[in-house]
Amino acid sequence: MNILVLIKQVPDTEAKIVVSGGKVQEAGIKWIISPYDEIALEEAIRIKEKTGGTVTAISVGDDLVQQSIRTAYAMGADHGIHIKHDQYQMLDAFAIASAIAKAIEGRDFQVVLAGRQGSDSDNGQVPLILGTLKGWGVVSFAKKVEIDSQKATVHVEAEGGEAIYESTLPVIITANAGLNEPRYPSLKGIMASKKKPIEVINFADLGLGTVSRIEILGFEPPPPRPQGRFIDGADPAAKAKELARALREEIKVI
Amino acid sequence: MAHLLAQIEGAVITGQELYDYEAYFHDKSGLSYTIPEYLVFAHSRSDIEKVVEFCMEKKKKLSVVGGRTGYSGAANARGGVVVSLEKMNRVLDFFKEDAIIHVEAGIITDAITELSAGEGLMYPVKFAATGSSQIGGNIATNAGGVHVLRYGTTRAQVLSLEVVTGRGDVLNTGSAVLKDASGLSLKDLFIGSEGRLGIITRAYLRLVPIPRSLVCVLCALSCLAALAPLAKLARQKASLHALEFWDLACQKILEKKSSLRPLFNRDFAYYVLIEWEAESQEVQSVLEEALSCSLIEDALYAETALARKELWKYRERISESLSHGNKVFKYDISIPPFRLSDFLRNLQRNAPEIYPTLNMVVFGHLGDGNVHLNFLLDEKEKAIEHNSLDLWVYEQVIAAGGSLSAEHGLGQLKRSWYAKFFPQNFHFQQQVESIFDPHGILR
Ligand SMILES: Cc1cc2nc3c(=O)[nH]c(=O)nc-3n(C[C@H](O)[C@H](O)[C@H](O)COP(=O)(O)OP(=O)(O)OC[C@H]3O[C@@H](n4cnc5c(N)ncnc54)[C@H](O)[C@@H]3O)c2cc1C
Repeated sequence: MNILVLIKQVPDTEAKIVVSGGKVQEAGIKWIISPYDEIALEEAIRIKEKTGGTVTAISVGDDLVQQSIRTAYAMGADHGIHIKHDQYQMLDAFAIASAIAKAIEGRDFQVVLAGRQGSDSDNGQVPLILGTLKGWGVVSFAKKVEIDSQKATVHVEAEGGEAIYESTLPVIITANAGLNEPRYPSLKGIMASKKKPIEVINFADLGLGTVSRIEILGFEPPPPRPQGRFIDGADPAAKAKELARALREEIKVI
Repeated sequence: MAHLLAQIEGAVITGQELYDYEAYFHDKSGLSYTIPEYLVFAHSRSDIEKVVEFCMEKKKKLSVVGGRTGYSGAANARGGVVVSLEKMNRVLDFFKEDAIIHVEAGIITDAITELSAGEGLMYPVKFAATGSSQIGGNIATNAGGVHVLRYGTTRAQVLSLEVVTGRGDVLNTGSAVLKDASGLSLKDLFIGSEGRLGIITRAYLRLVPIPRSLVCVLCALSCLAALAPLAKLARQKASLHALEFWDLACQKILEKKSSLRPLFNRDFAYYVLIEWEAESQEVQSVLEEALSCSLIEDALYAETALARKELWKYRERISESLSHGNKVFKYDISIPPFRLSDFLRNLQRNAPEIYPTLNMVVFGHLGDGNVHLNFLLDEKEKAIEHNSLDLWVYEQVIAAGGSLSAEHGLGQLKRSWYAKFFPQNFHFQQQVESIFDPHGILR
């Protein structure tokens, strides 16, 4: 079984995001594999450990994304493909999915795993568009996955219960939280991963031209949250009175 | 209530109602306590002054409680009056540029970090109970925790205190200065005083910048001999943040009681959690060196904030999972770092000879020589006398040049042992206590 895992590199969940000049400033940000993608990667490695085959991690981005591909190696991925695009922030989901579809042409994958959405943009579209471009089935939000040589069985949370889907292969499956707990990359894995080559494909060489359908005009930080305010008063009754006054006269909500 | 307590701004609980408040009368030690006559939720320093005055006048014992997360019984009620500062939890001032904060003593420790995180600052004392302990309790026990290596104990964070002494004076030990050489340091007497000199009401504390990038690694070790050299290697990086360890017995209990999964696909003798403020590439070379000289067998990386929190759960949940369904004798002791390995080796050698079936579990703060030694007792061992086990442990601690209490205080548990092993020190401590608490209400 050959499995492809889509990996997006995102800022760490605790990173402080600075936006200026219409762009996210990348200096000082720690980049990680998007948490849902990490779950997808873990699932792929578990399937490989059970049934054999290979796991390939693919990522679109600038040279930094090679770090995430190395982390994928350290966890147990066999191959890594880096689709290089220095201005990848400006690409939309359609462009990214098109690049992946093109890059895997002629390669033999039976299963594609990806996170249900990237933790930065929460877009969740790349796997769906990839499915459309390839004509493969997509099952989203998997919480349990079973694969045999003919088909995939995917359990998905549904209103008040569980839905179970069966699909022929190839299939694209997106991972939900709770599908598994990703392993930590081990020191020995990291040391071995350093020597592994990463296949680099230039986005421009894929011959897609300007493929984005959505033009990203720029990024802006959210407005700063107004300062909280303490209501002062001699006793609880006085504080309540002052609060009521402020809500009525200043904020005008009551 | 026809007396001073009637003038108190906060709530005063008395009579039958006290039984709804039992949680306020003891800490986590499981040691005995006596239900008080009054429980006071003080709202202000002046409430505290009234409580002290009342206790002096009526000759009542006064116990101060913080978050009651202590392990030594120091906060346990002794009849009389119990005063809680949980309603005195305000931030009085916050000097962002100088990283100094002025708080009331009842504030929850972690709340300070939550409040200052927006400014890129944090309060550096952190451990598994700081979500419910109070700054006053931390100061009164000189709490340590997992960042002592980098930032020091609570003592290193306190700039100045406001205290109501056991005689009812309001004492300001200084001000928000970073340096102070005006004679004997009074604030330092109150740090670690376990509520026996006075009631801490306010504190100026220093904050530190939130570390930029933390790399957390969990190392697997196959033997005790590797602990010290690994600690040494880890320290060579100036930015070492935390260095914690636990043994296989701990790991097994964690997996069973805390539903945490096994970390590696086989067992190891010791697990060491190391955190550096560094980039992972820098850390990599240290670990490769450790691997190449067989100090470690393997290591796991937590590079993301999420993964780091997950790894820390193992360390943070040890204490609770040991107590879960077991009777435990706990020892919080401190050993000079250079004798730590020998000390642990001797314990492991001697314990089975004296207590053949005793289940010894070891974890703690490897970086500063603070060992939490635990003995889990099952039915057979219930008969073991606490006293004889204490003596056996403490004699070895003293022989190694260690301290009977690293960070949990003397409390009810260790005071008599301290008096036995350090009679002269104990004498002077008592002298100081009688200056600030001449009527003995706090002791
Ligand atoms: C899971 C767990 C892990 C822990 N890990 C650590 C650790 O790593 N490091 C560590 O140092 N401790 C640790 N502890 C012990 C405990 O949390 C600390 O001793 C803590 O500082 C106690 O704070 P508290 O507010 O709960 O104080 P309490 O337990 O309520 O009181 C402790 C002492 O302080 C006195 N006191 C409280 N408030 C005041 C005040 N305002 N003025 C004067 N005296 C006062 C009390 O009288 C008592 O003597 C741990 C506890 C638990 C449950």
